[in-house]
Formats: sequence, C-alpha cells, structure tokens
Amino acid sequence: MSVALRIVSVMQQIAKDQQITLPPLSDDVLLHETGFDSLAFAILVVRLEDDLGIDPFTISEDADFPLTMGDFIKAYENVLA
Amino acid sequence: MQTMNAGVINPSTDSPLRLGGRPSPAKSWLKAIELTSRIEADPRRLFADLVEDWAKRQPDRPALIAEAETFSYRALAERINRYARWALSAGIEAGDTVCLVMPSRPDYLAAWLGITKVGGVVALINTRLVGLSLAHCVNVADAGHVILANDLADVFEAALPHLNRAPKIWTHGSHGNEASIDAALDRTDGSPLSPAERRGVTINDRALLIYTSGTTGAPKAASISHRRILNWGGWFAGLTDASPEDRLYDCLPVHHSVGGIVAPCSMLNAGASVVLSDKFSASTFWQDIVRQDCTLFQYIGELCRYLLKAPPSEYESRHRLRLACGNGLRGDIWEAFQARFAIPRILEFYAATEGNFSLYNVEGKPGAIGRIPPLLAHRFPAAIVRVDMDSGKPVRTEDGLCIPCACGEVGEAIGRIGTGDDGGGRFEGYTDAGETEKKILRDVLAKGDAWFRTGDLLRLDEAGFFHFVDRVGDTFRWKGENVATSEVHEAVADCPGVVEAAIYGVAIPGADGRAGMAAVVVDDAFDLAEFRKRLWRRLPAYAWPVMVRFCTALDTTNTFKQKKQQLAREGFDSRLVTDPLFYLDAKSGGYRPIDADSYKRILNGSLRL
Repeated sequence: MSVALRIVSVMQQIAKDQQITLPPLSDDVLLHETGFDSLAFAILVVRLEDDLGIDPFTISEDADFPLTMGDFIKAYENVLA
Repeated sequence: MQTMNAGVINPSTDSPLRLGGRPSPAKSWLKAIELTSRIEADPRRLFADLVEDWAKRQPDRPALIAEAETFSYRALAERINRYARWALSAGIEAGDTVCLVMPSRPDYLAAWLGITKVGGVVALINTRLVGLSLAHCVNVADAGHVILANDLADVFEAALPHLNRAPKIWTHGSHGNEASIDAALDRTDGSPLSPAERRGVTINDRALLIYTSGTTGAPKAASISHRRILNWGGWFAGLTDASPEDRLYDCLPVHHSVGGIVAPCSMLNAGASVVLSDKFSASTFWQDIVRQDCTLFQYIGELCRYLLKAPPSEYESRHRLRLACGNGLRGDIWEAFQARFAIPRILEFYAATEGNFSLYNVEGKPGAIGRIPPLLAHRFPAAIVRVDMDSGKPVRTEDGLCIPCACGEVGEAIGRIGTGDDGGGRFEGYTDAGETEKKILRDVLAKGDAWFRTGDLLRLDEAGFFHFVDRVGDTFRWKGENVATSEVHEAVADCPGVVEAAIYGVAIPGADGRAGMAAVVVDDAFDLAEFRKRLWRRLPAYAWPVMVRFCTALDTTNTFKQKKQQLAREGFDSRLVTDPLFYLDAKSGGYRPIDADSYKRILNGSLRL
C-alpha cells in the first residue's frame, strides 16, 4: 500500500473510533477542515510512527507543520523516499 | 536530528508505548492529550476524585511521603474528606476563602484538596512572608479563616494589626486548644462525600489563589480553577510518562504552582508517590533521592546550579532516577548537570502560574525551554512580539498593531486569550480586575484580539525551540523568585533617612537571574544597620537588596522616570563606580563595603551572595 493510502486508511479508522465525520480527503483539503482535533492528530502521528517507523515532525529541522492533506502526506513521503 | 529514537524504530520488536525505555515525543504528547482531553467531558469530576479512584484501586500504596507524616492513597482520600467536612461544619460557603499558612507536608495537600472539594477557595500563603507583605497577601484573599502552622503563630500575630478583617485562626499541629484544626478534623468522618455535601462544585469554579509577583507590582493573587489543576496534573502525568511505580522528590515550595500543584498532581494523577521535603539542601539531596528510592525529581534552575557547585556525594550516581522535570535549567550547565548526575532524561518546561500557554522540551534539547509541538502548531496560542527594552512596552506599527519577532529575535512572549477550542488559552486573571487588565495586550495581530503578557523575553530558533532570555523591564529573578522592584522600592523608600531610591537587578557572573541593588540618596537620619533591620522585617529574604549604592542624586528622564538601565549597566564594579558600594554579607547578615578584593571574590564566586 502506498504511504498516501496508508495515511488515509489510518485517518478513516481514527475518525470511526472518535466519531468524526471526514470530508473527502483530497490533497488541497486544509487539515483543520478534516474535523480532527488535537487528540485525533496525536493518535494519527503515533499510529503512523508505529506503522511506518517515523515521526517526520519531530525529526524535522524546521518548525512548520503542514497546512493541507497534500503537505501532510508529502512530509512522510520525503522521509521515506 | 532532534531525537535519538526517530528513524531507528523496528515496529515488530519495539513495544508500542516504549522505545528504548522511554516514549517517543509523539507518544508523550499523545498520553498528555489523552489525559487532558477527558477533563471537559465530566465537569463535576475534580482532582480529589482522581485521588479517591486510585484509593479504591491501590489503597495501600504511599501517595505522599514526608518526615511529618506519610499518607497512603486510602489515608489521603479519607483526610481530604475530613477537611471537606470540616469546611462544611466551619460554615465555609462555596467561594469563601481560607488562607493556608503551613510548611510543606502531606497534610498541606490534603487541606487544599479537601476544602476545595466542597467549593472553598484556598489561598496558598508563602511561609517566609512577614509583617506588611504577609498582611497584604491575606488582605488580597479577603479570607474569613486561616489555617496556621503552630510554629508560625508569632509571625502571624505581628501581621494582625495590618489586616483589613480579623479572620478566624485555626492552628495546625497543636491539639491543646479549641482553635486546633487537628482536633476538629478528628471529630469528622473520612468516608466519601454525598452529592449534597459536594454542593455541585465543577471544574469552572475557583479552587486556589496562588501569589505571583509578575511584572506589574506587589504580589497578586492568581485565580486557579479546578480545570487548571486537572490540566496541570494531566499534562505532566502524560509528558513525564508517570506510572504507579514512580516516586517523585519534591523539595520546592508548596505555595507555588510547580512545587505545590504541578509536581504532586502529576504523580497523584498517575497513582504514583511523592516525597515532600520542606527545604532544599545540596548536601543531603542525593542521599534523600537514594534513601527514598525516587525515580523522578522536580527542579528549578537554581537548584541544579547549587547541586553542580557542591562537592561530590557518594550517592549522586547511585540512584534509580529516570527523569528530572522542571524549569530554568540553562544551556550553560545542562549537559554537565545531566552527565555528572547520570540523569537519563530531562523534561524542561516553561509556564507561568496565571499564564495561558506552556511549552515543553519533550525532545530534551539542551538549553531550550520548549517547542511548539508540530501536531498542535496549527492552533498553538503563543507568539513573540518586539518590545522596547527601556520602556518594556511592545513596539507598534503605524496602524497600531504589534510586530511579531523574526526567528532569532528577542521579544516578549504572549499567549492568545480564548477558550481552548478556538485556538486560544484561558486566562483566569487575578482577584483584582485592574491587575488582570494590565496583563492583557489588545490589538496585537488583528484589531480586537487579546493576548496574555508573560513579561518574559524569549527567542525562537530555526528548529522551533524557544529559549529564555530575561524578564521584561523591572522585574527580575533572584534565587528562583521573581522580585518586583516596586515592592522593594516601597520598603526601601520608607526607611528613615532615605530621600530617594531606585531598585534594579544586576547580573553576577555564574549566578542565575539578577541580584537586587538599591541605589539610594540619603540624609543624616540614615543608619545602615537600621535600614537592614527594617527591610528584614518587611521583605522576604529573596527580595532583600543584595547590594546598596549611595548616590548624591538619581538621574531621571524627561518624563521623571528613573534611568535605571544605566545604573544596572554600571552594576557593582568598584573600579568604575565612584559612589560607595556595599554588599550583603551572607555570613554576618550585615552590609559590607565592596572594595577591590571583595569585588574580585564576587566575580570568581568565592564570595557567595
């Protein structure tokens, strides 16, 4: 499964557990429009850390957190590439 | 790379929660967010309820340990209920204030947890206060009742004439008289409270008053809600990854938010144990840590510095510590401290008692006070804005807005005020609405927005880590306390023979913060010994001027503000300053002249202030 698909599938699982209704997850959707709160994002980053073996935000040298779904997926792809 | 774990994880062999014995930063954050996100769901669940739940699950595990007494979880839960019922029987209504004037011991926590459980508000009074400054704090609380350690009865009596109202005094630690709270507690029942007894208290209600000197004058009473206590406990339980097996050593003052709430509540939240010591001693610190088998300790930067200066102890690396948590450990000693004492992990944080945001250095980067967690960045309420260092005021553009600092630029840290779910943090303010307003900065990034002023100068680096620089303007830190120059100024100016005075802090090499210096213009009525005596009666020890400079006149600006910046820059260099200079001799307790020799000894650290 591609990284993008894995991220989306983990998000769908969390949305189900947390009773969040996700919009269609296209690349240009803003992360704050996903309905994910801090807890949901924290669960997401930790699940992906367990799943993919990385947390791209902790190891990054700059402080920027992605704003869109596309940037979020790219952050993982860049480290794994 | 900022962490040792990222990128080397093998998901098939590493347990999901622990990596090499410690959680990854993302997992630390998750645990803290999980613990704190439950708080709003049940607004009637207070911190005392978490203690009662642990008492059911592990009644015999020690909760609070000290020389004075040790409480198991069961004993603590019962004691809390006794204090709650005492408050009801004493006629303390929801919202009424009780002053607590007691040294650090387990019963101190039981007292405030119990009284606040039924809606009382507890003002945590510094036991080092005397005279007018003690009276000021009791007056601000407008308390009808005071719980007073028997040993402090004389000190309190001296403050009585200055009180606005006469509170009912309950003595703690003496069974002999009718005002004994111990006897009153013995007559109450420690079983769980009925819903009626709980009087519908929620997390929105005020629980504590904690005094802070901040940037704007005399001590102010910051309002602390039950929500805040639960949040502090939850964040720190999560970020320290606390478990029931942990035991934390806390020798910080319990009337402060860190020593009194953050440290104990982080552990009680997780069913762990806390060792309370009523004072810090560099010579017995490591022995205590080993003897009590502690796995964590709570520090302030000054404590770390004293430990590092102390001669080696045979106990200093024989401990079982896994973490030191605290604030103020600076970059110049961080690595030496961590290496010499073999401390596996350091969790440095930044927060203010009344502040509306906090920072955590979960990654353990030496010298940094914290980092905006990337996964919370989109809604993180902190910013740094440019300030005029002489006036201490934020710089504004032509259209009236503040100027966010660039990366690496020093400015004042501020926190957007909101309710949490709107990208801001709650600011609960002080008992004095005027003082509350003084801490609010408006029209910052947009017209109509409101931010909390921390009074702290910070700098953000390129990797997103914050670094502490100094306090803005007048207030400075000394021996771990913020010293408000206005309060010292009042005391100094009241002394006979003082015509004019300016109070400011001067940097001393190798010491944290700044030492208080009083520049005074005096007349014939002045007597140095009398001056010292009066200040001792009026000010807490950390606020005593460490140095005195006798000037013939004090320069003022054209708006009649004192030119303190210049005086502070001149410091205490006896080669540059021709005015007579004195320092406070720690040994004799008196002021002595600074000459070439004592100046040299202050600089090389052989003369300690």
